[in-house]
Amino acid sequence: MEKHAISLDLQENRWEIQAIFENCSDLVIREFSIGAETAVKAMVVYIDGLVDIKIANQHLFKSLMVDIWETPVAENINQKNVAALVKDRLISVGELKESRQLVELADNVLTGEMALFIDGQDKAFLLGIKKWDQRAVEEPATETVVQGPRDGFTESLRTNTSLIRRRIKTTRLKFEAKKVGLLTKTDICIAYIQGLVPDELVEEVRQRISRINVDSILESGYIEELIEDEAFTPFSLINKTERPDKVAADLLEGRVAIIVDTTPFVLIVPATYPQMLQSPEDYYIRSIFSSFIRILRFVNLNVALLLPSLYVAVVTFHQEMLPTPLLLSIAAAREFVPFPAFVEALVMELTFETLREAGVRLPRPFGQAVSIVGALVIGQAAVMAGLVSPAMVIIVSLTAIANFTIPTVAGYLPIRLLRFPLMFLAATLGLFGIMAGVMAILIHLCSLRSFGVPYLSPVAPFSFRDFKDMIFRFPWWAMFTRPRLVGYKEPARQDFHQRPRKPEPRTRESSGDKHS
Amino acid sequence: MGKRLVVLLVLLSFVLGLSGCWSIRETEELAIIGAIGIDKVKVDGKEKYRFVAQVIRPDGMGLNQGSGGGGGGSGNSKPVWVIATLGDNLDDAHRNFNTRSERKMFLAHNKVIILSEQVAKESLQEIIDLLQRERELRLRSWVMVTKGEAMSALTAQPQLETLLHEEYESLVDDTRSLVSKAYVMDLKDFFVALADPGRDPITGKIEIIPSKEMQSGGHGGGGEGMSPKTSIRLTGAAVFRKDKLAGWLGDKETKGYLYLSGKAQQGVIPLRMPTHGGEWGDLDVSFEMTRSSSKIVPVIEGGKLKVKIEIEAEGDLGEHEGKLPIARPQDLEVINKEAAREIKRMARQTLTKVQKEYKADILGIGDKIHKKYPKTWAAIEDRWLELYPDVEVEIKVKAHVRRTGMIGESLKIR
Repeated sequence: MEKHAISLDLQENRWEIQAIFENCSDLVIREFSIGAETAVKAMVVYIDGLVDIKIANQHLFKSLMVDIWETPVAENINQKNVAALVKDRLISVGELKESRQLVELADNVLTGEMALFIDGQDKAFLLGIKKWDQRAVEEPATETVVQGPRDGFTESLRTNTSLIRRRIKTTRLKFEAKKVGLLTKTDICIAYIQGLVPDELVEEVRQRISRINVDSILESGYIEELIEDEAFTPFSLINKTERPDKVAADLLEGRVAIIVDTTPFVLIVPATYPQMLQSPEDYYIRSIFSSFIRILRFVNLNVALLLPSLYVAVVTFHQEMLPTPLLLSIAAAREFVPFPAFVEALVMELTFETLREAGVRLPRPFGQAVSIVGALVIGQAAVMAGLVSPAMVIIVSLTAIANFTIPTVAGYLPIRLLRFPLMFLAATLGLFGIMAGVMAILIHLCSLRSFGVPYLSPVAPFSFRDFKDMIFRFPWWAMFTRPRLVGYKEPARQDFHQRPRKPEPRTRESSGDKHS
Repeated sequence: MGKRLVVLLVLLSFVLGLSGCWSIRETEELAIIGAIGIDKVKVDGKEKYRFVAQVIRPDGMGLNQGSGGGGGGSGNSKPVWVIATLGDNLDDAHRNFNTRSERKMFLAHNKVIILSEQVAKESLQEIIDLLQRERELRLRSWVMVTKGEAMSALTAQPQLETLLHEEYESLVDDTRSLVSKAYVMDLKDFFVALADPGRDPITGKIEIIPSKEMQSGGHGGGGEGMSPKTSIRLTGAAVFRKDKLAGWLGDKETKGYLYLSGKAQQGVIPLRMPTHGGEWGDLDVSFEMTRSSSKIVPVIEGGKLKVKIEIEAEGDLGEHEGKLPIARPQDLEVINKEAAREIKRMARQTLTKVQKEYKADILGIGDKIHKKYPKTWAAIEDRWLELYPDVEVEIKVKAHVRRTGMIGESLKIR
């Protein structure tokens, strides 16, 4: 590697840099001299668009080239003392490193640092004045809440860590930096709270991430698929969120967050399925109401998963299970439908999935067209034409609406998918088929682990303690403990006896004391 | 390994498709039956069963407003289609249904089974057997007997509901308890009563009321000619001895039966107050029944079997002619006594008719003996129905008026 050491000769360094960055038109090299008679040649190298050019102008170029004349330093400067002077007195930039390797230097320049070469020095200064155009902190598009913080992660790793740090102001909150991807050299950051998180968990995360050997990481989804416990499952074993408050809450439970540069989506491990049915807002609104919402969500989860298949099963096999008037209504609706219930359900569900996908991918202005086509053509016209029964349209819309109540993407994607095999089972084996399918899903769920934690916990394995934050959300003064399987290193979250009470009736003596 | 697993899964999925759908039936392939009736008719001198089924036409119920385009003037079709088919035995008649209907008979939603008087008078063995064997039929169906033909009980016009079977169902479920003038058994109770040696079945009686209005065969055409409109009335009860219809009970007799068996609910007992010391008398008072209970206790006294029936009736004051003082609880005692006397009279009348005339143990007195004196019962079980008419029955009635409605004394008109 001797070849890539920085040479004493500025010109040689320049050639070297130009060779490394051949055809990189965004590279800027600027030569100038420092001092008067014994002026020293210097050179600045940076990638245009990644550095804060305003700061560079003011604190580097101006101070080295203009301001220097008003000080005695200019006269005295020479080859020997230039490096120390520049470092200690002339450059007013906070982050400053030295580098002696050209390859390392090139890597740093590529992350947005500015390299300053000085003639006769076998090292270069790296100025951390990164700045690029980035999206401001905005309200997250997924996981919206009514009551609660509105800031969301951005594509910048630093912004994201700062959003978390603003919430957890302790030195125990660690951000371990790593680089993954041979070409993308993506910065990622393992965040955890020391002492809360099981050490084995952090070690496991480190190991799994260091195991990754790919050329590119463009989004946290890449990492997710490379480090999850089970490759073939419709369920995602890692939580993904855009919300700093959610990450902070999970860190405080003793989980680990993996922040990836260039994406606002942060990974949280270990994840459990019940977690994916929870929204951060559950913790911000009053506990009675959020318990109600959670029960509602659980009902809707079942509706979203089972309603079409139950309809198919009951209408094609178990007509005796319906109340007579309902059967008559359904029979009347189905009277002119040319397809069996299963085909009808399948077509309608696929149509809806198509509409949804089209709605997501289409450019905004066309979005409205999709909803018109969806509502009018599919909804009304298909019924009018007698192609599908109105009952089926209701089933599909109920299913869709129920699906939307699941607050996380990771929570509803498997439900969307598993609906179809269940419909097939319902059409072949009726309710028995549905039960068999549901059993298979449950067995599969029980077998899953996310970083060693059972995916269905605290339901299976059952943990009574953790049910405070499951179907019901207990008030905060009752949340004494962290989840049993992740926060066991420091299980106590808070003091007991914090339930708000009416104030004690004030006695005459005590009030008298105050006044005297 | 992985490849073999995939092949196995693919093969397994074939199994689903091959064996899975054999029992599939779409709703549009079903003839949903709301009510069935069983008749016996003579055709060419040969006695044949007639199976009458009331098929519901889902598209005729006016539910399909939205998709009228597909149906094409659904106003034409009637909500039900009554199919009657003949057969040498009942199963044959029942199966012949599909000579007329292209849809498969679906009995799981059947609510009403109507037997004609003639069928009921002969042995029910064959009918009961078929009804029990039939897989789809629910034990919750109501069994009723009609004077005349079951056919006409199923072609009557529903007045408030769209479907006749719904009207039957509401009459039995909802309004029967408001008048306490009829009693209906469901299929399960009917089976139980038939199989029980110490009990005979009793079930509802359907009357068909002709109306002066005439109706045309179809709404539009009127091709089938005019026929008198009829409607139904649920009143009284049919008493069976073993599996044969023994006779009928009228309104009041049924009320007596309901009191004897403790099943009387709401209803009215009109009382005529006797002259009471010349002060008042001969007044109309209405005892509004609310609750009742009865105890049937068999006793063996000196080797002789006696049955004591204690009836307790509760009620409100429904109306009275105004002169009767009712402000104080003890004033009501007069009415209590008169009501008790009237209930006792009704109960006695029913009992005499059932015991002496029909010789049918609809009260399940045999059962009570069985429970209390199992050994005695074992000895008399086989002869029970012969012994039963001569059993002495003692009836005691207590009646109690609890409330007098919104007012105490009635309005004084001056």
